[in-house]
Amino acid sequence: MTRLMDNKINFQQLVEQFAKASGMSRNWSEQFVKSFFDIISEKVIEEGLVKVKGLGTFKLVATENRESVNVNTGERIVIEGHQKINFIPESELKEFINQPFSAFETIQLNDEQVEELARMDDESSNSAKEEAATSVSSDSAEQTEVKPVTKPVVLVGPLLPAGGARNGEAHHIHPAFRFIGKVLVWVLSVALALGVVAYAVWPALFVVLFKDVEPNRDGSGMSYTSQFEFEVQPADTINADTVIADTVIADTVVADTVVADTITEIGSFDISETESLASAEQAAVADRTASSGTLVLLASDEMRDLSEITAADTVNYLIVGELEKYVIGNGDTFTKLALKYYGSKKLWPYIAKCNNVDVNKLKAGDVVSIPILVNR
Amino acid sequence: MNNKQFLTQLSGKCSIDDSQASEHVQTLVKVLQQIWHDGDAVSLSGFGVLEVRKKNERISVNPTTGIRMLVPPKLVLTFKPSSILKEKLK
Repeated sequence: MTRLMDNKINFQQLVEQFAKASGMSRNWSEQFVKSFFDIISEKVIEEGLVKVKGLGTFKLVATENRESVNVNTGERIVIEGHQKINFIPESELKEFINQPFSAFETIQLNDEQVEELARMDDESSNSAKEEAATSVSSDSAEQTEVKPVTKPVVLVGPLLPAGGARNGEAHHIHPAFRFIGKVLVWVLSVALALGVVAYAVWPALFVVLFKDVEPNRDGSGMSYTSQFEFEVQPADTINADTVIADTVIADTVVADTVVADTITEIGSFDISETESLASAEQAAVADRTASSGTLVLLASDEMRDLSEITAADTVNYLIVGELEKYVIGNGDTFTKLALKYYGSKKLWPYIAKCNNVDVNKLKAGDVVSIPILVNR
Repeated sequence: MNNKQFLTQLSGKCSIDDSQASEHVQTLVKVLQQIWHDGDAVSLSGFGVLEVRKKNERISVNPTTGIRMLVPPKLVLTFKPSSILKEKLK
């Protein structure tokens, strides 16, 4: 159960509204409203039941002793039976309250639909994660952006012994590295021209690469592989945790393939090294993408933007027009459409409302209109 | 306590007759309905909070047949007694 709004009407406001509606004086109205609720609370305790026509029944209900577990200590405790006040609204009032959703009936599901719903639940929880990841404030976004730069520097210390053992090897491939660096710079500049997204992402990679070249130049013996592998691991976990907007990933994957190809052509790397290099790039990109909300926003389509606005609750939106017509295909459901257009399957009642059709009688080929929703 | 007894009590406190009390109760319920219709909650100190809450759609299973049903979302009126009222119960 979710709360709809936090706007609370207090006693004074209620009295005011009542006085206006009844045409009685304010003083008298105050006395009336006060007596009204006083009698209810008094008599429900005295007699255990108060019926008010038009509103409903207030009832005293006894609860039995029940066992529970203290969450902190794990200890078993007994919650003693007590009495509580129940309120059962009259059926007319119930119907009035539920009017916005009155068009819906309970639907029988087959197994397929159950699985589908479960899957959509997963998806929406994923997208919730994504939103959480992208809603980082600009301040913290800057902090995380620095990560790829600082990490290798910190890691040089613990890695040195291992690197030292491979000292000669590292020196041997040194010129090749430099050449690859140049090639990469060239590829980078091409990628930079690709667009804003690519522009924002690649500098991070750029910095990572140069941090790596430098220790080699001094002959400290840092090998590419070891450093990159180390870089990949933490970044990879970030990658798994955050869902990256599709377009960004697509862009970087294309660019990555270019880099990987160039490196293999030169032939001074074995494949595993190229792979780890490529994944390091991806990871760095992922890091970057996750930390900067604007990037994801750029990459996402306009409906995603709407989903942020429409994420909250079902009764708080107005239908202001038609976004587009949609031809129902096999296996389409209103929940699926809601997920597609608004990013939340919870908004499906609006589609149903807009079309005024029996949800159970929809068939493939039917045309439904998708409403435009505006926050109330 | 049924509605008639309730109206008698109310009319006694407010020095009006029963039919007037009945009318005014209806007016008050109308006012309350409008408040809930607008999505607001009625919070009265010493009594409690009457508010409309949304129950999400859910899948329920008939335990004997195993048939799964999608129960649509609905809006319900809830009453949460204030702590003062709860205290009086003890």
